[in-house]
Amino acid sequence: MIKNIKKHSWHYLVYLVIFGGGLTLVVATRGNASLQATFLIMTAFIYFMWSMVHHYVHHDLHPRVVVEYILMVVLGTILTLFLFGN
Amino acid sequence: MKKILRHLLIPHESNNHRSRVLHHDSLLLIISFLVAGLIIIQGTHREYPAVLGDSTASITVEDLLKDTNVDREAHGLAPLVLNPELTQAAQNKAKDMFAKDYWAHVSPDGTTPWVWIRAAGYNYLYAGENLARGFDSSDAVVTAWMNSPEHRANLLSSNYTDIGFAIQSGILTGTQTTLVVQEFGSPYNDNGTVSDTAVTTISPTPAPIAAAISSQPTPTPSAKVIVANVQIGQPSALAGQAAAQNQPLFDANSLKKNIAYAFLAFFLLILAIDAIIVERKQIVRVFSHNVDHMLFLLFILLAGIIIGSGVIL
Repeated sequence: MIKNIKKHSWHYLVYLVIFGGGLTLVVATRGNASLQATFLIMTAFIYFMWSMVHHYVHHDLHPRVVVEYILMVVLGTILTLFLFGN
Repeated sequence: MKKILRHLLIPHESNNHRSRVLHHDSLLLIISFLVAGLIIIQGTHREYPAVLGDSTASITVEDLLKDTNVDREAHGLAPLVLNPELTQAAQNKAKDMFAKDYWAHVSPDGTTPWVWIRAAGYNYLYAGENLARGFDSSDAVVTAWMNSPEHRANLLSSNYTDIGFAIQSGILTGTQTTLVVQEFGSPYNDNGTVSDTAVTTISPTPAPIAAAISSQPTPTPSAKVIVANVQIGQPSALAGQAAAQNQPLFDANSLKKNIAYAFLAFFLLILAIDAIIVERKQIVRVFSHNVDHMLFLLFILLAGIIIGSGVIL
């Protein structure tokens, strides 16, 4: 696991930039729930795209891997909806 | 029981060395339950607001006033007195913010806070306004104001003698929120002049306010004319009692957030346990993206904390 992160340090740097950017946008739009929700869902989608590229480059883009990421992104998106009011 | 928990939560031979709750079918089942739960909560919130509604009970005028005056007295200032006209002004301002869906000191049609204060029949020498939304306690609101130089200047201004609050719940800029409006003032007397003070973040139209802040004396508006345009509502004390009686059994917002935090914490814990055991036992498998998922869920958790924290203006 740690070896994998070290081996693909550039991938994980991009990954952190994606989440850092997402959090920055959420902070910048405090008070505007619609925009915050949009940025969160966009970040989740970009995370999914990142994972596909990451595993494609890593030559292990198995259909079950795709399903796993889809399920995690959907889970995260549903929990995001819980975090907002109405 | 122990075996069931191990099967569900710990990587083991029985679950093919992957916590059962992380299997695809289990995740799908959990997602389905969450979607159903969200629909039920939203439906109950809409149809039975007395059971699952929007609570403002955790923020009270009494506590806001007490906390404000504690801070003032700590700085050698006289306590502010709760004023019915300023309370009415704050309530009208809050209603206007919900009705026109804006989060600003100045409404989209250019109505400044001073209009509400004058309209409530309070002729001021000095006036100011602080706003807060999304906080879950009176103490958190006053602390946030005290930590902001502009809002702190209002709270600790020796120019003010009176104060009024409004605490209202509703949908503002797309989200269910509890809004707190705090109006400050000191009454005008015949020898004084009229001037306005406000926090500097009084966008979106600062120009008229900048002019109003000017020390140039301007005549006070006629109280008779202004009051004639105002429909004075029920007294603030009665409004407070009515609000207290209308509190729902459960707060929908808190319930949803607690569910989200519980699930995020649960999955972060399970993914961490799974990752540690797999690493220690050197288990090789296709599905070992725990770090990716943990960072993603951590991102959602942090975003939730940012969303859940209040905002002041």
